[in-house]
Parts: sequence; C-alpha cells; structure tokens
Amino acid sequence: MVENNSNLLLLVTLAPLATSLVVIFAPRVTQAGFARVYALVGSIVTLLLSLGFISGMRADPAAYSSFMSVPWIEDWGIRFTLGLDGLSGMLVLLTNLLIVVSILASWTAITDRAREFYACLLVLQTGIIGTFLALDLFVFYIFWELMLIPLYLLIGIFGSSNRIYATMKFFLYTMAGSLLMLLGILTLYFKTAPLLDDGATFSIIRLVQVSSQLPIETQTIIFFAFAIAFSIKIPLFPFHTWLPDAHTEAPTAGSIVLAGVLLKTGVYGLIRFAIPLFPAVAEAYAPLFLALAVTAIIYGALTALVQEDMKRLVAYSSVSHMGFIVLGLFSFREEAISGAALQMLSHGISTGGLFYCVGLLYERRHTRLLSEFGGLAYNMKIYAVLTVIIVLSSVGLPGLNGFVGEFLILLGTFQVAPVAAAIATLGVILAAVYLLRMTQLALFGKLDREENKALTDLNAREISGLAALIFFALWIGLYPRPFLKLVEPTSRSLAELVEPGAGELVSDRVASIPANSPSQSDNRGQIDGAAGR
Amino acid sequence: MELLFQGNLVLSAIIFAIGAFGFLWKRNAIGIFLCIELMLNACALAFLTLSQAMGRPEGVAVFIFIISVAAAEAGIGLALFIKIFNEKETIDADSLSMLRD
Amino acid sequence: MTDVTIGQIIDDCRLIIPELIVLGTLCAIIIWDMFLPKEKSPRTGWLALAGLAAALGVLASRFGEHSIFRFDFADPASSLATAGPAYGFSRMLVSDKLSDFFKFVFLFGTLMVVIFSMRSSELRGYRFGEYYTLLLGSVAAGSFLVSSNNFITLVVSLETLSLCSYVLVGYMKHDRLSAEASLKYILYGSVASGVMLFGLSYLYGMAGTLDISRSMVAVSLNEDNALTVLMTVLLIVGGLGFKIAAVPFHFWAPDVYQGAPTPITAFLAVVSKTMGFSAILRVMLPLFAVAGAAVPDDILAVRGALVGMIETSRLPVLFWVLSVATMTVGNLVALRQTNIKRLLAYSSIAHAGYILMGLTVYNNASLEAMLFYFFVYAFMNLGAFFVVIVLINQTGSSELEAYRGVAWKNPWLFICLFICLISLTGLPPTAGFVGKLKLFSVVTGAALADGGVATPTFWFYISLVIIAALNTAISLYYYMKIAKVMVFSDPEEAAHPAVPAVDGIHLLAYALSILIIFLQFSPVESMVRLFGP
Repeated sequence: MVENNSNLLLLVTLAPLATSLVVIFAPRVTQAGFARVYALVGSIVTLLLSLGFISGMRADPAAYSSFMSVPWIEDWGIRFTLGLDGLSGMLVLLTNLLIVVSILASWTAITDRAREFYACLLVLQTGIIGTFLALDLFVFYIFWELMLIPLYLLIGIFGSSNRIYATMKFFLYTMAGSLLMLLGILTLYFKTAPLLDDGATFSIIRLVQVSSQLPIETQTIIFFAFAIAFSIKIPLFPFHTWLPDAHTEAPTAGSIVLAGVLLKTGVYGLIRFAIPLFPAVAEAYAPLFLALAVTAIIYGALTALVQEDMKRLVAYSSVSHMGFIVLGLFSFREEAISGAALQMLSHGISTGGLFYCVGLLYERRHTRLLSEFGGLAYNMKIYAVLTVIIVLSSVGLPGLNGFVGEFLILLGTFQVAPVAAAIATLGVILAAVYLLRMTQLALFGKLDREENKALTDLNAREISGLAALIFFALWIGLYPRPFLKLVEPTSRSLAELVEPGAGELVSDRVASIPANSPSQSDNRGQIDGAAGR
Repeated sequence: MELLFQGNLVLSAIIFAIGAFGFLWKRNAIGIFLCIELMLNACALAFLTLSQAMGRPEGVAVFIFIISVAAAEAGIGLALFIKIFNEKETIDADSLSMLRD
Repeated sequence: MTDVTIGQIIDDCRLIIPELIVLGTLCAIIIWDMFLPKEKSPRTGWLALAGLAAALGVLASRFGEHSIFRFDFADPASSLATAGPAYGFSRMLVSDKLSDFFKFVFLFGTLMVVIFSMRSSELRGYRFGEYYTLLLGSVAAGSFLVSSNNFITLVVSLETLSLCSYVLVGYMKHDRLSAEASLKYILYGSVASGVMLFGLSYLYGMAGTLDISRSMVAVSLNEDNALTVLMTVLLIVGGLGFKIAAVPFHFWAPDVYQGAPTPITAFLAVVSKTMGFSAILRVMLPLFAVAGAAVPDDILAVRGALVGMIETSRLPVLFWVLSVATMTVGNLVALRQTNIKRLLAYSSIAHAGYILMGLTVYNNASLEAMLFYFFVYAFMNLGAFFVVIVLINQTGSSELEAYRGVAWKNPWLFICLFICLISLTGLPPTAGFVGKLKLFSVVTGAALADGGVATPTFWFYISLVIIAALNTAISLYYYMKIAKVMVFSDPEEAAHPAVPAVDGIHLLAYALSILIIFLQFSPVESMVRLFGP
C-alpha cells in the first residue's frame, strides 16, 4: 500500500494534542482566559483540515485515500499505520464537528479550571480520531485506551453531584472490556503468526487475509473478546448500565462527545475489526445480536418514557438508537449496513444537539428535571424552534437526518428478520412518544414558574453551535447521497462477506474488504502445527 | 550409624515443628523469638547430620553461618524488645497493634 | 577440591569489581562519619552517591560480558565452545548477563533511594553515617545474592540483606511505628529464613551438594520422591517469597511499608523485592533450560528430567496458585486502604503476583518478560514513592485524606504521580503497559503453544491471564482512588508549599522515562535479552 497524504493524516490526528499543549499553558487573563479561544481556534483548524482530506477523497472511497505506515517496534511487527476511507472519514468529520460544538457549549459553562477542561477535551479528540484511523491493532488499542483517561477526568472533575460513582462505573466497565479485547488481540497475533510468511503482525489489512483460516473455535473466542469490548462501548443491552449514569453526571460537552462520537467507536470497531476478521462467527451469532439489539431498542425507549431528568431521558434514547445501528449491522444487508453507518452520523448530530439543548437549559436553571420547566416557548422563541427541529430529527421525521438511516435499517432488516424489524418499528413510534413528551413538558404548556419567565433566549454563540448541527441534519435528510456514497463500499463488502451460503469463499473475499491489497490468502501455510512464540 | 543419622533427622524435624507451632501459638515476643531460634537450630542440626552422613563439608559451613545469623538476629531483636518495652511496659505480640488494617 | 591460590582469588575479584567499589565506599563512609559532627553527617550521602555511581559505571562498561550458559541441543559442539558465564571463587559466585542486569537494577534503585533519603524530611535529625552504611551493605548483599552459584553464598547474602533491612526499617528510633514495623519484619523474616533453611537441608540431603545448578538438576532427576521434591521447592520458594511478599508470605509487608521511613519503603518495594525475585530466578534458572540454556553437567539427562518436571506441571501449578493468590489478595485488600504507603504496599504485592505469572512458563520469552517488568517496575514505583516522599515533606502525613485537592496546588506533582499510577495500572501510553503486555503475551503464547483451543493447557494458561486482566481492572479502582482524592476533592485552605525545583525535575524525569520507554522499548528489550545478540 502506498503512502498517501500521510502528513495530512498525522496532522489531523495530532493537531488536537498540540492544541491541548498550547491550551494548558494559556495565560489566565479572565476567568476562562485564553484557553477557550485557543481551543476553539485549534478545533476549527482541525475541522477544516479534515474537511480538506475528505473532499480530496478518491472516487472509490473503499481504497484508503490517505494512508501512512511507519515502523514503530520492528521486533513485534508493529507499524504505526493510519488510513482513511469513507467510513472513517465520515466519523472523523463528525468528531471534529462535535468538538467545535462542545467547545461552544462550554464557553460560559466552564469558567473554573478552564485550561484543564479544554486540554482534556482536546486529548480526548486525538484519542477518538486515532481510534477511527488506526489500521494496526496495537495502535488501535493505544488510542482506544487514550480515550479513557481524559473522559475520566472530564466527568470526574467537571461533572455534577454524583460524578465519582459515575466515573468509576464507566471506567471499570470499559476497562474490563478493553482488557478482554487486549487478550483477544494477543491471541489473534499469536495464532496468525504461523500463517503469515512475512512475520507476525498487528496490521488489520494482513490479518483479515488469514484470520478465516483459523479453527472456528479460536475465531469464536477472539470474536467475542472483541465483541464484548465493543458492546460495552456501544453500549448494547445488557452492558448499558454505565451510560445513563455517565451521561447524567457529565458536563454538557462531555455528554455531547460521549453520545455523539464515543459510542460510535464501538460500532466502528465491529465494522472495521470484529466482523471482517471473523465473518463466519459474526454470521453464526447474528441472531443473538439481533435479539439484543431489539431488546435494547424497546428497553431503552420504554425506560426513556418515564424519565424525569432530561439528560437521563436522552441517554436512554441513545441506548435505543444505538440498538437500531446494531440491528442494521447484524442484518448483513447492504442497505441496512449503509443505513447503520449513516445512522451513526445522524445519531451523533441529533443526540449531540439534544444534549446541547438540555445543557443550555441546565446552564440557565441548574436543573434538568422536566417538572421544573414548561412554556419556555413563550419567552425563548429561538431556543424552542431549534430544539423542536433537533427533536424531530432524532424522532426520524422524513426530510431530517434520522429518517434516512432508520428507514434503510428497517428496510434491510425486514428482508432477513421480519419479526425483529417489526418490533424495532415499535421503537420508532416510542421514540416519537418520549421525545415529544419531553418537548411538550418543557417547551409548551403554561409558563407558570417565576424563574422560567426570566430566562433569556439564545445568543449568537449558542445559535451558531446548534445551527451547524441543524445544517448537517437538513443536508443528510434532504440529500444523503454524498454520505451514502462514502460508506457504500464498506457496507457492500461487509454484506458480501457474510452473505448466507457463501461461507466457504469467505477467506478469498475478505482480502478485498478493507483495502484493495492483492489477495494472498491462497498461498498461506497450513494451520497444522501452529504454535505460539 | 545410619540409624543415628535418621534419628537425628527425625529429631530435627520434630524440633522444627515445635518451633513453628510455638511461633504461631506464643503471644510473648521473647517466646516467639525462642521458637524461631528452635527452628533455626533444627535446620543446623539437619545440616550437620547430613554433612556427616555424606562425608561432605558444606553442611558444616552452613551450620556455622546459621549460628552466626541466629546470633545477629537475636541481637537486633533484643534491642527492639528493649526499645518497645521501655515505651509500652509490655512486649506482648498483641500490643503491637499500631500498624494494622 | 583443588587448592585455591591467592593469585586465583585476586583474579576472581575482577568479577565483583562493582561490589568491591560499593564495599569500599561503605568502609569510607564509616570512617568519615566518625570525624563528622551529627549535623554534618548527611554529607556522607554524597559519598554514597559517588560510590554507587562509580559501581554503576563499571557495571555498565562490562554489561553482558558473560552470557548465560546456552546449550543448543541441535548443535552441541559449537554451543559448548561458546563462552558461558564466568564462575569464580570455587564456583561460589557466577557472573552472567542475568546477574549483570539485576545488579544494574539494584545499583540504580539504591542510587535513587539515596537521593530520596537526602530529600526526605522524615530522616532529619538522625545520623546518616550508619544509615548509608547499612543501605550500601544491603545493595552489596543483594549483588552477591544474584551472583550466587551456591546455596551457602545465597543464604549468607540473603541474611546480610535481611539484617541490614531490619535495622533500616527501624531506623527512626524515636518513632514507635518504625520500631513496631522493624520488630514485625524481623519476626516474620527469621521464620522465613528458618523455613528456607529447612527446605535447603532436604535439598542438600537429596542432592548431596549445595551448588545451585547441580543440586536443582539432581533433585529434578529424583522422580521417586516427587512429592518431597515439590515440598522442598515450596519451602525454598516460601523463604524467598517472603522477600517478594508473595501471598501467603506477605503479612509483614503492609505494616513494614507503613512504619518504615518512606525512602526505605521505596527500597523494600523496589530493590529488596527485585532482589528476592532475582534469587528465585537464580534458583529456577536451570529449569529455563528447556529453551536452550542449561548447566554444563549431564546435559541430556538434565534435559529429560527438566522437561519431565515441567511437563508433569508440578511447578507451573505451584506458581499458578502463588501468582493468582498474590495478585488477587493484593488487589482486593488494596481496595480499602486509606494510607498511601499501605496502599502502595498492597499494590506491590499485586505486582509480585503479575511477575510470578512468568514462572508458570519456562522459556526465553518468559524470562525476558519478567526482567523487562522489573525494569519498568523500578521506574514507576520509584516515581510513585518519590511523590509520596515529597507529599509527606509537605503535609507530614501519609494518609490519603491529607492530600485533598493537591492536584490544584501542585499540578505538576500530580501529573507525575498520575503517569506513574497509570503505568502501575498498566494502561497505555506508559511503560507499565508494555511490561504487562509482554507478560500477558508470554502466558497467552503458552496457552496457544500446543495448537488447539479448549485443551487443558489452554485453559490452564488462559484462565491465569484472564484473572490477571480482571485484577488489572480492579487495580484501576484504587490507583484512581488516589487520583480522585487529589483532583476531585476541593483543596483545603492550608497553603501547600511549592515543590523544590530539584524534586520537580527529578519527578519529571521519572514521568518522562515512563513515557519514553513506552514509545521506544526496543533498547530495554535488548538489555534484557539473555539469549542471542
């Protein structure tokens, strides 16, 4: 694979880290000082850089339009490999967009210890971008763990009252998952070493070419090591219990990033690593994941229905929506996978927006209880309009972003699992119910509380953050083609990979999945006598 | 002759067991220390016996070292007993309770 | 036995030049201290530093001069021709790369402990001449310990080390905790040496020699008394396990760590523990012969016996149990500690458990992974203890409660500690991660060595590594508990004095080393590579 755009790739990954260094040394002039200005400028530059290389993407986004690979630890076959294709490009774009929005959201909310706050946020950004770009399992794991620590500090320092319990729960859940994944990575590394003629490697491009030659039990064990780690991050029912706590306690920016991007790293891991490596296992256990996804959709929706805390409500709606994405993914139909990928983007925008809206109220009233609000539409007109648009986009109103993804997912799933699709449709209806209930209680009705009468409407900064999100919501809703084209090759190859009845040809096909590298799987050595180091 | 060696080894095992049991049982620090000395001397006896039985010299060397180590340990231990007794007027093992979970 | 001439002894002294330098410095300190008034006795520290640095320099100049004896079963002739370890003093002492590596860690660790002692306020007001004499005596004893080729040398140097440490633990003679700690240490320590000597007497009776490699080989051949052999090994490992604080020989550790002066706690946790491990490795080294290194006598018989000993899984099972018990007890009890020295004591018990994992696998990679872990363990633990020393200098307390909000008063201090803690947990991007990764991968490799999954061997090793991974997740909780108190609690009103620049730079050096070792660990790998170039 030729190196391509490698400087830009490295620049986008490291720009937030560099900005965080600038931020931590920023002079403290006013309360928040220069930190927020530096952070905003840095994140906008990163956003523009990433736009730069996405617009420069080739006609065929399956090929890594940007790619870099430098040796890191030769003895272990570890290369610092980053690559950008349609799917990761889309997610990097989403990440950078939401970081800008969350910096805008924290502009006045975080004044105490602002430098530390923005530095953490930017380190987190590097971790997320790296996770989306890494093509070497070792590098992937490093970035994956790198996301953990800044988020721990963000929630732990800047969160609300019960934050310490929430951070510990979040930290232990994800840590247990990632260690399991580390064992999976090691097992994969050792088991594939005898199959590779150019030495053991962590490179995903090489590994997918040989992984299907492993005995099926080995594949199953490694697949579940990956899948559990990713399911905790998604979070898939029954691993979801950390999410509502973490969201409720996180500062607004933390919630936006957590719901908007971090949850996607789990799905991305499934799409990029777990399924292409072990398509046969993924296919065999697809019913399990479909069942869990449907449970998550209904359970999340029903729980959201009775929440009094707005953030908790949105958190449970996330559980439900992420269920949709997993549903689409494990139906292994091309349109459903495309829908799931698009829904990742959509959910990031809508839920990020929802958390922003809740955060705006929290900043003004320091409460998130629905019963404290009512009739806000009378004195916060702009806020009401923008919130309703965001809510509708999350509900899945045609013409807005949520609709396209959900529709494609249901369309695809219906062909393989009609019952699951039917139950999931119920989730769409429930989503309308709980989100509109929230809107109804908060925005409409009587403006009967004195405190609420004094609330000011949004200012230009706040509007600009929401407007950016709404712009993308409308774009995806009205003209999703460019985004679908970005993810199409990934979803097509994934669907072909696990198409029922094609199991015996899987190994040959895998070779073409993540990259256009030549297929070398036919002249691999035998598995017999495979031994560890 | 061989019987004597075997008897000596059994004796050393018995002395060691008495020492170990006493170490767990005794509450007075000096008593505990005496039990430790018993254990060390049981080892010394075993080494001497084996050395004689096999006609090899290493066992005697180890014996000499065990004796000197036991003496050195007793020296440090007794110094500490005096120090602690001066403060607490007791050297009961249960009184050593300032450091605990 | 041939007569030993003076010339031979002088010749052999070349093998122990670093130890001779240390012993010479020790004598010089005793003499110099006699002429110094009490308030000037801290000056002897500089002499101790100079002596240790000189010894380190000599050691570095001849590092790895004598390789470990390596026997290639495929090519006996050439492997016998290559130079192996150098024996001296009638085979009482041996010098090879293993001993060189450990001496490096001991000397480096002690050098740092001397610096800690110069910076610590706890020791102020005591005479330093004896203190440094005892410290240098311990490091010389430790160096002889790892060079022992005979159980006599091993016992004598182990006892010398113990006697020096008993006094050092009780060095603060006006402090009641210190005296109590010392008494507990001496009581447990004497029993441990009794147990080990008793085991040795059995070994002596069975093998007829006290030469370490010869007697270990002889008892391995003794298939008739398999149970007695196992008991013997258990007794010897029990005696040495006291030094490394392996469960169930760990009862002394928390009390002693808490009561001792903090620099001595650091010495016990890092140097003394590594010394105990080095003795275990020296005793077990013949068993690593299966991978190609062996003692020169009776090679083929040795091989058969050793393979038998390991394949019948007696030793791996023994160390599996020790390792699991040690890491689990260490981590679980650490969870509820509120004193930072006690907490680090339990953490060091847990780390002994991780390292013991390496002794369930008998090959080169495992030996090297253990050595690698000692290296990074030294860095991260010394760093953590130095932060504790600085904190005790500032607050006069080792209770966690006293460190509330320290992070906001001394952010750099906290960042250094945080990096050490992340490294102790084993998260990237730190050296601790690489160390743990290597240990995990050795055990995972052993699990997969015979090809299949779901074989008894597979479950034996994979259960070990899964337990270790779960333990890592648990350990995260209490390491982050330290961070939590420092960051998430609001600082108390009392002003913290600033950290002196000297200490700050010293700490930063630890933090940076931990990060640099992560980024480029190949140099350390080549340092611990006992076999091959």
